[in-house]
Amino acid sequence: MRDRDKYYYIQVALPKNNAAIQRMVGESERLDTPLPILARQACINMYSEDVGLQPRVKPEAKQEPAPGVSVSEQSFSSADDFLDNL
Amino acid sequence: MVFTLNLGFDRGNARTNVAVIPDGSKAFVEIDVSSMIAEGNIRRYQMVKSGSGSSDNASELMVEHEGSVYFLADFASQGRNPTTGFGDKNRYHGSHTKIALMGYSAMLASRLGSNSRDLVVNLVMGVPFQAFQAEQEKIMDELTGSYEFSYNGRDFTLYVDSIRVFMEGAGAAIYHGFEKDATIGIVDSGSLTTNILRFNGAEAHTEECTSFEIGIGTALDRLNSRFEEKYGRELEASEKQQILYASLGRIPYPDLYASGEQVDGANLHTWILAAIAETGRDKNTQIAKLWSSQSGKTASSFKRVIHVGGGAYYFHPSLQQIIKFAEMLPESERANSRGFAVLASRIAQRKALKRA
Repeated sequence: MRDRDKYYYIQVALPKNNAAIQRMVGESERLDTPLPILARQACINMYSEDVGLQPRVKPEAKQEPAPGVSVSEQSFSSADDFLDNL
Repeated sequence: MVFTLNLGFDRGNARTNVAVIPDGSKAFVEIDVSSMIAEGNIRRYQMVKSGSGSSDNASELMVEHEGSVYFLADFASQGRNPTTGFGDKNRYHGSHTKIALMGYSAMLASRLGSNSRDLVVNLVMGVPFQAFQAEQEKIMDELTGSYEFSYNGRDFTLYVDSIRVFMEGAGAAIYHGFEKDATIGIVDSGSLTTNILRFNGAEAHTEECTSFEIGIGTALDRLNSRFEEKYGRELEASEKQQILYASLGRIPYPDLYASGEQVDGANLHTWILAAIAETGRDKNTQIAKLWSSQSGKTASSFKRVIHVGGGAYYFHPSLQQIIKFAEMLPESERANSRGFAVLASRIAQRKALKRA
Protein backbone atom coordinates (compact mmCIF):
# COMPACT_ATOMS: atom_id res chain seq x y z
CA MET A 1 0.00 0.00 0.00
CA ARG A 2 1.37 3.40 -0.93
CA ASP A 3 0.69 6.73 0.74
CA ARG A 4 2.38 9.41 -1.37
CA ASP A 5 6.02 8.35 -1.49
CA LYS A 6 5.90 6.03 1.51
CA TYR A 7 5.21 2.34 1.23
CA TYR A 8 3.48 0.34 3.93
CA TYR A 9 3.32 -3.38 4.14
CA ILE A 10 0.30 -4.61 5.99
CA GLN A 11 -0.44 -8.19 6.74
CA VAL A 12 -4.15 -8.82 6.95
CA ALA A 13 -6.20 -11.93 7.41
CA LEU A 14 -9.36 -11.71 5.38
CA PRO A 15 -12.29 -11.67 7.77
CA LYS A 16 -15.17 -13.96 6.99
CA ASN A 17 -17.98 -11.87 8.38
CA ASN A 18 -18.92 -8.33 9.30
CA ALA A 19 -18.15 -8.75 12.99
CA ALA A 20 -14.59 -9.72 12.13
CA ILE A 21 -14.08 -6.74 9.88
CA GLN A 22 -15.42 -4.44 12.57
CA ARG A 23 -12.86 -5.85 15.02
CA MET A 24 -10.10 -5.25 12.51
CA VAL A 25 -11.16 -1.65 11.92
CA GLY A 26 -11.37 -1.15 15.67
CA GLU A 27 -7.78 -2.29 16.07
CA SER A 28 -6.46 -0.10 13.28
CA GLU A 29 -8.09 3.02 14.67
CA ARG A 30 -5.90 2.87 17.77
CA LEU A 31 -2.94 4.04 15.71
CA ASP A 32 -2.66 7.80 15.56
CA THR A 33 -1.47 8.15 11.95
CA PRO A 34 -3.14 8.49 8.56
CA LEU A 35 -2.38 4.82 8.06
CA PRO A 36 -5.52 3.47 9.77
CA ILE A 37 -7.77 5.06 7.16
CA LEU A 38 -5.76 3.48 4.38
CA ALA A 39 -5.60 0.18 6.24
CA ARG A 40 -9.30 0.18 6.86
CA GLN A 41 -9.92 0.94 3.20
CA ALA A 42 -7.66 -1.89 2.15
CA CYS A 43 -9.31 -4.35 4.52
CA ILE A 44 -12.78 -3.41 3.35
CA ASN A 45 -11.86 -3.56 -0.31
CA MET A 46 -10.04 -6.86 0.04
CA TYR A 47 -12.89 -8.36 2.00
CA SER A 48 -15.47 -7.07 -0.45
CA GLU A 49 -13.61 -8.39 -3.46
CA ASP A 50 -13.03 -11.74 -1.79
CA VAL A 51 -16.71 -12.34 -1.12
CA GLY A 52 -17.90 -10.65 -4.31
CA LEU A 53 -19.56 -7.62 -2.70
CA GLN A 54 -19.35 -3.97 -3.61
CA PRO A 55 -16.96 -2.19 -1.24
CA ARG A 56 -18.95 -1.05 1.78
CA VAL A 57 -17.04 2.25 1.84
CA LYS A 58 -16.30 3.90 -1.49
CA PRO A 59 -12.78 5.34 -1.40
CA GLU A 60 -13.26 8.90 -2.54
CA ALA A 61 -16.83 9.45 -1.39
CA LYS A 62 -16.82 8.43 2.25
CA GLN A 63 -13.22 8.46 3.26
CA GLU A 64 -12.84 10.68 6.26
CA PRO A 65 -10.08 13.27 5.99
CA ALA A 66 -7.06 12.32 8.04
CA PRO A 67 -6.42 14.64 10.97
CA GLY A 68 -4.76 17.59 9.27
CA VAL A 69 -1.82 19.75 10.19
CA SER A 70 -2.96 22.75 12.24
CA VAL A 71 -2.76 26.26 10.87
CA SER A 72 -0.66 28.48 13.10
CA GLU A 73 -1.69 31.97 14.14
CA GLN A 74 1.61 33.14 12.67
CA SER A 75 0.51 31.89 9.23
CA PHE A 76 -2.76 33.79 9.50
CA SER A 77 -1.07 37.02 10.59
CA SER A 78 1.58 36.62 7.87
CA ALA A 79 -1.18 36.28 5.26
CA ASP A 80 -2.73 39.50 6.56
CA ASP A 81 0.62 41.32 6.46
CA PHE A 82 1.29 40.02 2.95
CA LEU A 83 -2.12 41.22 1.68
CA ASP A 84 -1.67 44.60 3.36
CA ASN A 85 1.65 45.02 1.56
CA LEU A 86 0.37 44.30 -1.96
CA MET B 1 -26.89 24.56 -1.94
CA VAL B 2 -23.47 25.82 -3.02
CA PHE B 3 -20.30 24.45 -1.43
CA THR B 4 -17.38 26.89 -1.24
CA LEU B 5 -13.70 25.96 -1.22
CA ASN B 6 -10.95 28.49 -0.54
CA LEU B 7 -8.25 26.61 -2.34
CA GLY B 8 -4.46 26.78 -2.21
CA PHE B 9 -3.20 25.25 -5.45
CA ASP B 10 0.41 24.40 -6.22
CA ARG B 11 0.58 22.73 -9.59
CA GLY B 12 4.08 21.38 -9.83
CA ASN B 13 5.57 19.72 -12.87
CA ALA B 14 5.86 16.40 -11.05
CA ARG B 15 3.28 16.65 -8.27
CA THR B 16 0.24 18.75 -7.54
CA ASN B 17 -0.49 19.86 -3.98
CA VAL B 18 -3.87 21.27 -3.03
CA ALA B 19 -4.92 22.46 0.42
CA VAL B 20 -8.04 23.89 1.97
CA ILE B 21 -8.99 25.02 5.47
CA PRO B 22 -12.61 23.95 6.00
CA ASP B 23 -15.00 26.48 7.56
CA GLY B 24 -14.83 26.35 11.33
CA SER B 25 -11.57 24.38 11.28
CA LYS B 26 -7.98 25.37 11.87
CA ALA B 27 -6.41 22.40 10.14
CA PHE B 28 -5.57 21.73 6.52
CA VAL B 29 -7.25 19.11 4.37
CA GLU B 30 -4.83 18.27 1.61
CA ILE B 31 -4.22 16.42 -1.63
CA ASP B 32 -0.73 15.46 -2.78
CA VAL B 33 -0.83 13.61 -6.10
CA SER B 34 1.09 13.04 -9.30
CA SER B 35 0.48 15.83 -11.85
CA MET B 36 -0.10 13.21 -14.54
CA ILE B 37 -3.31 13.38 -16.60
CA ALA B 38 -4.16 10.94 -19.40
CA GLU B 39 -6.88 10.43 -21.98
CA GLY B 40 -9.30 7.88 -20.57
CA ASN B 41 -12.56 6.21 -21.47
CA ILE B 42 -15.61 5.22 -19.49
CA ARG B 43 -15.35 1.52 -20.36
CA ARG B 44 -11.82 1.29 -19.06
CA TYR B 45 -12.86 3.14 -15.90
CA GLN B 46 -15.70 0.68 -15.29
CA MET B 47 -13.41 -2.30 -15.92
CA VAL B 48 -10.83 -1.05 -13.45
CA LYS B 49 -13.47 -0.10 -10.91
CA SER B 50 -15.07 -3.54 -11.06
CA GLY B 51 -11.66 -5.13 -10.66
CA SER B 52 -11.97 -7.15 -13.86
CA GLY B 53 -9.57 -5.18 -16.01
CA SER B 54 -6.56 -4.74 -13.81
CA SER B 55 -4.97 -5.88 -10.63
CA ASP B 56 -3.65 -2.36 -9.94
CA ASN B 57 -4.77 -0.58 -6.82
CA ALA B 58 -4.66 2.93 -8.30
CA SER B 59 -7.43 5.12 -6.90
CA GLU B 60 -10.01 5.86 -9.52
CA LEU B 61 -9.96 9.51 -10.47
CA MET B 62 -11.93 10.31 -13.59
CA VAL B 63 -13.15 13.62 -14.97
CA GLU B 64 -15.50 13.96 -17.94
CA HIS B 65 -15.60 17.42 -19.49
CA GLU B 66 -16.93 18.62 -22.85
CA GLY B 67 -17.22 15.10 -24.26
CA SER B 68 -13.74 13.96 -23.25
CA VAL B 69 -12.71 11.62 -20.45
CA TYR B 70 -9.55 12.09 -18.39
CA PHE B 71 -7.79 9.88 -15.84
CA LEU B 72 -5.85 11.78 -13.18
CA ALA B 73 -2.87 11.22 -10.91
CA ASP B 74 -1.81 7.56 -10.44
CA PHE B 75 -4.91 6.49 -12.33
CA ALA B 76 -3.42 8.18 -15.44
CA SER B 77 -1.33 5.02 -15.86
CA GLN B 78 -4.58 3.34 -16.97
CA GLY B 79 -5.13 5.88 -19.78
CA ARG B 80 -3.47 6.94 -23.02
CA ASN B 81 -0.75 9.54 -23.51
CA PRO B 82 -0.25 10.43 -19.84
CA THR B 83 1.42 13.82 -19.40
CA THR B 84 2.24 16.31 -16.67
CA GLY B 85 1.98 19.13 -19.21
CA PHE B 86 5.77 19.49 -18.98
CA GLY B 87 7.03 21.76 -21.74
CA ASP B 88 3.58 23.15 -22.59
CA LYS B 89 3.92 26.94 -22.54
CA ASN B 90 0.21 27.25 -21.63
CA ARG B 91 0.45 24.80 -18.79
CA TYR B 92 -0.61 27.22 -16.06
CA HIS B 93 -3.88 28.18 -17.74
CA GLY B 94 -4.48 25.41 -20.30
CA SER B 95 -6.73 22.38 -20.19
CA HIS B 96 -4.29 20.39 -18.04
CA THR B 97 -4.64 22.84 -15.15
CA LYS B 98 -8.40 23.18 -15.68
CA ILE B 99 -8.97 19.41 -15.52
CA ALA B 100 -6.83 19.18 -12.37
CA LEU B 101 -8.78 22.03 -10.81
CA MET B 102 -12.10 20.33 -11.56
CA GLY B 103 -10.99 16.90 -10.33
CA TYR B 104 -9.35 18.02 -7.11
CA SER B 105 -12.09 20.51 -6.18
CA ALA B 106 -14.68 17.73 -6.49
CA MET B 107 -12.43 15.31 -4.61
CA LEU B 108 -11.96 17.74 -1.71
CA ALA B 109 -15.66 18.63 -1.59
CA SER B 110 -16.52 14.91 -1.43
CA ARG B 111 -13.94 14.33 1.30
CA LEU B 112 -15.42 17.17 3.29
CA GLY B 113 -18.82 15.48 3.13
CA SER B 114 -20.49 17.86 0.66
CA ASN B 115 -23.41 16.49 -1.35
CA SER B 116 -23.73 19.67 -3.37
CA ARG B 117 -23.22 19.56 -7.12
CA ASP B 118 -22.44 23.30 -7.23
CA LEU B 119 -18.93 24.19 -6.14
CA VAL B 120 -17.53 27.69 -5.78
CA VAL B 121 -13.77 28.01 -5.68
CA ASN B 122 -11.80 30.99 -4.50
CA LEU B 123 -8.41 30.10 -5.83
CA VAL B 124 -4.93 31.15 -4.81
CA MET B 125 -2.37 29.65 -7.12
CA GLY B 126 1.40 29.70 -7.31
CA VAL B 127 3.47 29.85 -10.49
CA PRO B 128 7.22 30.30 -11.01
CA PHE B 129 8.44 33.87 -10.57
CA GLN B 130 9.07 34.43 -14.30
CA ALA B 131 5.58 33.15 -15.21
CA PHE B 132 4.13 35.30 -12.41
CA GLN B 133 5.63 38.39 -14.00
CA ALA B 134 4.72 37.46 -17.58
CA GLU B 135 1.42 35.59 -17.31
CA GLN B 136 -0.38 36.59 -14.13
CA GLU B 137 -3.24 38.42 -15.88
CA LYS B 138 -3.58 35.78 -18.58
CA ILE B 139 -3.84 32.97 -16.01
CA MET B 140 -6.55 34.83 -14.09
CA ASP B 141 -8.53 35.58 -17.27
CA GLU B 142 -8.29 32.06 -18.64
CA LEU B 143 -9.20 30.17 -15.46
CA THR B 144 -12.04 32.37 -14.21
CA GLY B 145 -15.41 30.99 -15.26
CA SER B 146 -17.73 28.04 -14.83
CA TYR B 147 -17.09 24.41 -15.72
CA GLU B 148 -19.62 21.60 -16.18
CA PHE B 149 -18.08 18.20 -15.56
CA SER B 150 -18.50 14.88 -13.86
CA TYR B 151 -16.12 13.42 -11.31
CA ASN B 152 -16.19 9.64 -11.01
CA GLY B 153 -19.63 9.66 -12.58
CA ARG B 154 -21.09 12.41 -10.37
CA ASP B 155 -22.14 15.69 -12.00
CA PHE B 156 -20.72 19.00 -10.82
CA THR B 157 -20.67 22.64 -11.82
CA LEU B 158 -17.56 24.47 -10.71
CA TYR B 159 -17.61 28.25 -10.49
CA VAL B 160 -14.12 29.71 -10.26
CA ASP B 161 -15.22 32.89 -8.58
CA SER B 162 -11.95 34.65 -7.87
CA ILE B 163 -8.32 33.91 -8.62
CA ARG B 164 -5.16 35.40 -7.22
CA VAL B 165 -1.85 34.31 -8.69
CA PHE B 166 1.39 34.65 -6.73
CA MET B 167 4.94 33.48 -7.16
CA GLU B 168 5.80 29.99 -5.96
CA GLY B 169 7.59 30.28 -2.65
CA ALA B 170 5.29 33.05 -1.38
CA GLY B 171 2.94 30.40 -0.03
CA ALA B 172 5.77 28.76 1.84
CA ALA B 173 6.81 32.12 3.31
CA ILE B 174 3.28 32.70 4.61
CA TYR B 175 3.00 29.16 5.97
CA HIS B 176 6.32 29.54 7.79
CA GLY B 177 5.59 33.13 8.85
CA PHE B 178 7.34 36.38 8.09
CA GLU B 179 9.81 37.99 10.48
CA LYS B 180 8.88 41.57 11.26
CA ASP B 181 11.71 44.01 10.40
CA ALA B 182 13.93 41.17 9.21
CA THR B 183 14.78 39.58 5.90
CA ILE B 184 13.97 35.98 5.07
CA GLY B 185 14.86 34.09 1.91
CA ILE B 186 12.87 31.27 0.36
CA VAL B 187 14.53 28.67 -1.86
CA ASP B 188 11.79 26.61 -3.51
CA SER B 189 13.34 23.58 -5.21
CA GLY B 190 10.93 22.05 -7.70
CA SER B 191 11.18 19.33 -10.30
CA LEU B 192 11.69 21.71 -13.20
CA THR B 193 12.19 25.12 -11.61
CA THR B 194 13.94 26.69 -8.65
CA ASN B 195 12.41 29.88 -7.25
CA ILE B 196 14.31 32.15 -4.91
CA LEU B 197 12.49 34.93 -3.13
CA ARG B 198 13.59 37.61 -0.70
CA PHE B 199 11.12 39.14 1.73
CA ASN B 200 11.85 42.23 3.80
CA GLY B 201 9.22 41.77 6.49
CA ALA B 202 6.12 40.73 4.54
CA GLU B 203 7.12 42.63 1.41
CA ALA B 204 8.72 40.87 -1.54
CA HIS B 205 11.98 42.49 -2.59
CA THR B 206 11.40 41.70 -6.27
CA GLU B 207 14.87 42.75 -7.46
CA GLU B 208 16.20 39.81 -5.48
CA CYS B 209 13.58 37.29 -6.56
CA THR B 210 13.92 35.05 -9.59
CA SER B 211 13.27 31.61 -10.99
CA PHE B 212 15.47 29.45 -13.16
CA GLU B 213 14.96 26.10 -14.85
CA ILE B 214 17.19 23.85 -12.81
CA GLY B 215 15.56 21.17 -10.70
CA ILE B 216 15.25 17.48 -9.96
CA GLY B 217 14.57 16.94 -13.67
CA THR B 218 18.03 18.33 -14.44
CA ALA B 219 19.64 15.78 -12.12
CA LEU B 220 17.56 12.98 -13.66
CA ASP B 221 18.66 14.03 -17.16
CA ARG B 222 22.27 13.77 -16.01
CA LEU B 223 21.62 10.34 -14.53
CA ASN B 224 19.99 9.25 -17.78
CA SER B 225 23.00 10.37 -19.85
CA ARG B 226 25.39 8.33 -17.70
CA PHE B 227 23.09 5.32 -17.84
CA GLU B 228 22.66 5.48 -21.62
CA GLU B 229 26.38 5.89 -22.14
CA LYS B 230 27.08 2.70 -20.19
CA TYR B 231 24.06 0.52 -21.01
CA GLY B 232 22.91 1.79 -24.42
CA ARG B 233 19.32 2.49 -23.46
CA GLU B 234 17.41 5.33 -21.80
CA LEU B 235 15.83 5.07 -18.38
CA GLU B 236 12.05 5.07 -18.20
CA ALA B 237 10.38 7.79 -16.15
CA SER B 238 9.31 5.32 -13.45
CA GLU B 239 12.87 3.91 -13.24
CA LYS B 240 14.28 7.40 -12.72
CA GLN B 241 11.80 8.04 -9.91
CA GLN B 242 12.68 4.76 -8.21
CA ILE B 243 16.39 5.54 -8.35
CA LEU B 244 15.69 9.01 -6.98
CA TYR B 245 13.72 7.65 -3.98
CA ALA B 246 16.36 4.97 -3.47
CA SER B 247 19.04 7.67 -3.18
CA LEU B 248 17.32 8.79 0.05
CA GLY B 249 17.36 5.23 1.38
CA ARG B 250 13.56 5.00 1.29
CA ILE B 251 13.44 2.00 -1.02
CA PRO B 252 16.07 -0.35 -2.43
CA TYR B 253 17.56 0.42 -5.83
CA PRO B 254 15.46 -1.26 -8.56
CA ASP B 255 16.62 -4.38 -10.42
CA LEU B 256 17.17 -3.08 -13.94
CA TYR B 257 18.27 -4.84 -17.11
CA ALA B 258 19.77 -3.66 -20.36
CA SER B 259 19.80 -6.15 -23.24
CA GLY B 260 19.66 -9.02 -20.78
CA GLU B 261 22.50 -7.69 -18.63
CA GLN B 262 21.73 -6.83 -15.02
CA VAL B 263 22.51 -3.22 -14.14
CA ASP B 264 24.93 -2.74 -11.25
CA GLY B 265 23.07 -1.08 -8.36
CA ALA B 266 26.33 0.51 -7.17
CA ASN B 267 26.53 2.41 -10.46
CA LEU B 268 23.02 3.76 -9.99
CA HIS B 269 23.90 4.92 -6.48
CA THR B 270 27.10 6.64 -7.57
CA TRP B 271 25.53 8.28 -10.62
CA ILE B 272 22.42 9.64 -8.91
CA LEU B 273 24.45 11.13 -6.05
CA ALA B 274 26.86 12.72 -8.54
CA ALA B 275 23.97 14.06 -10.63
CA ILE B 276 22.32 15.61 -7.55
CA ALA B 277 25.61 17.14 -6.37
CA GLU B 278 26.41 18.58 -9.80
CA THR B 279 22.90 20.02 -10.19
CA GLY B 280 23.11 21.42 -6.66
CA ARG B 281 26.28 23.29 -7.64
CA ASP B 282 24.52 24.78 -10.67
CA LYS B 283 21.67 25.93 -8.44
CA ASN B 284 24.11 27.43 -5.96
CA THR B 285 25.80 29.44 -8.71
CA GLN B 286 22.46 31.06 -9.57
CA ILE B 287 21.55 31.68 -5.92
CA ALA B 288 24.94 33.20 -5.14
CA LYS B 289 24.70 35.45 -8.19
CA LEU B 290 21.58 37.09 -6.75
CA TRP B 291 22.12 36.95 -3.01
CA SER B 292 25.87 37.39 -2.54
CA SER B 293 27.34 40.41 -0.82
CA GLN B 294 30.62 42.09 -1.76
CA SER B 295 32.38 39.85 0.74
CA GLY B 296 31.31 36.88 -1.35
CA LYS B 297 29.04 35.44 1.35
CA THR B 298 25.54 34.40 0.30
CA ALA B 299 22.45 35.72 2.10
CA SER B 300 24.66 36.90 4.94
CA SER B 301 22.29 39.72 5.97
CA PHE B 302 19.23 37.43 6.04
CA LYS B 303 17.78 36.27 9.34
CA ARG B 304 16.59 32.98 7.89
CA VAL B 305 16.67 31.05 4.64
CA ILE B 306 13.91 28.49 4.31
CA HIS B 307 14.27 25.61 1.87
CA VAL B 308 10.98 24.16 0.54
CA GLY B 309 9.63 22.13 -2.38
CA GLY B 310 10.02 18.46 -3.21
CA GLY B 311 13.61 19.07 -4.34
CA ALA B 312 14.64 20.20 -0.87
CA TYR B 313 14.92 16.53 0.16
CA TYR B 314 17.74 16.12 -2.37
CA PHE B 315 19.39 19.55 -2.62
CA HIS B 316 19.43 20.68 1.01
CA PRO B 317 22.98 19.45 1.73
CA SER B 318 24.28 21.32 -1.31
CA LEU B 319 22.39 24.51 -0.39
CA GLN B 320 24.01 24.38 3.05
CA GLN B 321 27.40 24.50 1.37
CA ILE B 322 26.76 28.17 0.55
CA ILE B 323 24.15 29.01 3.23
CA LYS B 324 25.02 27.05 6.35
CA PHE B 325 22.05 28.31 8.32
CA ALA B 326 19.47 27.33 5.67
CA GLU B 327 16.60 25.34 7.21
CA MET B 328 14.42 22.77 5.49
CA LEU B 329 10.75 22.73 6.47
CA PRO B 330 9.18 19.38 7.36
CA GLU B 331 6.86 18.20 4.55
CA SER B 332 8.54 20.88 2.47
CA GLU B 333 6.62 19.89 -0.66
CA ARG B 334 3.36 21.01 0.97
CA ALA B 335 4.47 24.40 2.29
CA ASN B 336 3.30 26.40 -0.73
CA SER B 337 -0.18 24.93 -1.02
CA ARG B 338 -0.69 25.34 2.74
CA GLY B 339 0.35 29.00 2.65
CA PHE B 340 -1.85 29.64 -0.38
CA ALA B 341 -4.80 28.01 1.43
CA VAL B 342 -4.26 30.38 4.38
CA LEU B 343 -4.16 33.28 1.93
CA ALA B 344 -7.34 32.08 0.16
CA SER B 345 -9.10 31.80 3.49
CA ARG B 346 -8.08 35.35 4.50
CA ILE B 347 -9.06 36.81 1.11
CA ALA B 348 -12.51 35.18 1.42
CA GLN B 349 -12.92 36.59 4.94
CA ARG B 350 -12.02 40.08 3.75
CA LYS B 351 -14.52 39.82 0.88
CA ALA B 352 -17.26 38.68 3.26
CA LEU B 353 -16.51 41.55 5.64
CA LYS B 354 -16.60 44.02 2.77
CA ARG B 355 -20.00 42.71 1.65
CA ALA B 356 -21.37 42.97 5.20
